[in-house]
Amino acid sequence: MPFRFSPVASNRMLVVNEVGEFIFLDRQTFERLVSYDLAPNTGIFLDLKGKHFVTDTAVTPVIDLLATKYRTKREFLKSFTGLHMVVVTLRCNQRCNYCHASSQPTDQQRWDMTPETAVNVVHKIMESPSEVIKIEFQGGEPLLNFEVVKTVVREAKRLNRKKNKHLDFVICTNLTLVDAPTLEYCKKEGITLSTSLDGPKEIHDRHRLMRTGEGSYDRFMQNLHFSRSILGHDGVNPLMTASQESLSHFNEIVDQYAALGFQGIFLRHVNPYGYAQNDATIQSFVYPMEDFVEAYKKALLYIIELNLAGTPLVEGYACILLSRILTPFCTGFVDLQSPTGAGINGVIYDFNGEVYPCDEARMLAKMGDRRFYLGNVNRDSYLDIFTSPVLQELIEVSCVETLPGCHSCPLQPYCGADPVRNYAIQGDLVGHRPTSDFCMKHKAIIEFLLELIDQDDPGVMDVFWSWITNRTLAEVRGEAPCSN
Amino acid sequence: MLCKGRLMDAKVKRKPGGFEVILSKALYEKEAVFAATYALSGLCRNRVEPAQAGYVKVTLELLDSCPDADRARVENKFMNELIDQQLRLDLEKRYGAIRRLIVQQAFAPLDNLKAAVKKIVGRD
Repeated sequence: MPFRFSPVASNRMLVVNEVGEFIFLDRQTFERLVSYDLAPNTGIFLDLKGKHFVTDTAVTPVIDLLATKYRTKREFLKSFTGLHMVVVTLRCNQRCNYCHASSQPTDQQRWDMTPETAVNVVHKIMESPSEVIKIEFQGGEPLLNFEVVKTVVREAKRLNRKKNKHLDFVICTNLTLVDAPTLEYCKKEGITLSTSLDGPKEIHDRHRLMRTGEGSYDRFMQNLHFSRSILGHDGVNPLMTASQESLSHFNEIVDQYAALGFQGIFLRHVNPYGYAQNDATIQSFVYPMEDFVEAYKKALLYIIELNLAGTPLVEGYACILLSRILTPFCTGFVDLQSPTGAGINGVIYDFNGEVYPCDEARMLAKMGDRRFYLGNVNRDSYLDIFTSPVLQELIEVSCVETLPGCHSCPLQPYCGADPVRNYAIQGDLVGHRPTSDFCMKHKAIIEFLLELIDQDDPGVMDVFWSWITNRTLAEVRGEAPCSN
Repeated sequence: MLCKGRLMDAKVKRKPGGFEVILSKALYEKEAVFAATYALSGLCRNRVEPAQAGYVKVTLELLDSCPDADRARVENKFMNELIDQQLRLDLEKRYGAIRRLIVQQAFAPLDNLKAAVKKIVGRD
């Protein structure tokens, strides 16, 4: 049966089939496999047969089974765009060094989305064929134009009385402006908050600064507790951005997330492009991708240890990859899909109604390159926007099966392409894999996870399964009844 | 042995700052040569050109960022990459039709999958 292969650091061959079943083989066994020299009654043959790399019985049922798994893995294509990011304002009361977006001073209301544009945005969103819609309010700081947030929520819920979709709302906020009425409204409407926490005060305050120049950490912490008191403990979820100083402090950052009782952490590499490239402090937050990968691997092992010691904490990026490796299901992760998730899984509406396939594309437009402009909700129809030649081109150049360097890579079933990033960093949509830090990062981390799975340590595997099934370790081990 | 046999037919000539390889077209297809040179294009400036009849010449010059001491490592990497890429082509010839059948069956199931399998594999 078909498979792809590649040598890995442990001097073995990684062999992966079309649906993501994998096995590591020593060189000799690999040569015997490709030379049809494995006896059918041997353990290795049975292992390979169990994973559909070989068969000595009827072929049709195997192909039918692989086709079913393949279809399940590509289920995200059927749903089309589910994540709709709405930039309700460009104004922000913070000025973070590594912000690649285009935040504007708080007194310049011309950067706000108008209620009329907001209504047109909602009408486009609700035309999406996706049964599950998440509307994510972004900025700037969305709470600076909260009336338009309310307009979007009201209009979406009104239209949804007929559409009957599963509708979620998330506000991405720095939390510094939350007050009781805002939180009560969010609670009433079922809105959760997504926020940013880079780590302990000295790390967070190094880059996440108020426009007035002081750090935002103290106000953040105060409002985190206040928000939780109204929305509930899990009503606020943070993301972290790793700057150069963070890399040697990942364990402390992880400890802080655990101490604050967050369910997970997503160890996220800084994207030093857009406006961030011109920041005078750029040297304080950029670093080689190799450094991030090494820090990430150590931190992941530390998080696993924490889980085994009784502190549940999910590492978000590993969880997505593990779901792709260990289950037959697809996962929604716009940044790593094939074809790209930009546009077909997620889309962003700028304050003036302009539509872009992702935030990086919006950022490029702000810098004068409107290469990825899809249309405007105030002028164009849903079909004009979502069948635009720009989006079709993005899809055409982001199928890993056809990309140089990716076409023969065994990690294909777990990976994806990001043509907008390729364009922003390397100057063309296809990109150049041998010098791509995007490729280097994903390859290194996926191979690291595959090696961990291959080691089959019962504790590590219990932690992994608890992450991807959203259960406790006790539930995974059968020591407690399942709660979900 | 598949790998050793192929290595013996490749003539490597070391040059200042890089190396040159003469490859037999009987063993290495154009796609494999291009894929292998592409894989090393982050380390070297590469050139593929015709050599004497039945052979192709690949010249790899290490980039400034690649220390000369790494030349042997890059040379080995290229030769191994070449073999892997040719093997991938060989495997695609064996299994490509099955791969395409899996994808077709996933998105547009066939009326008679058994017949299609038998046509490709020789048994169902």
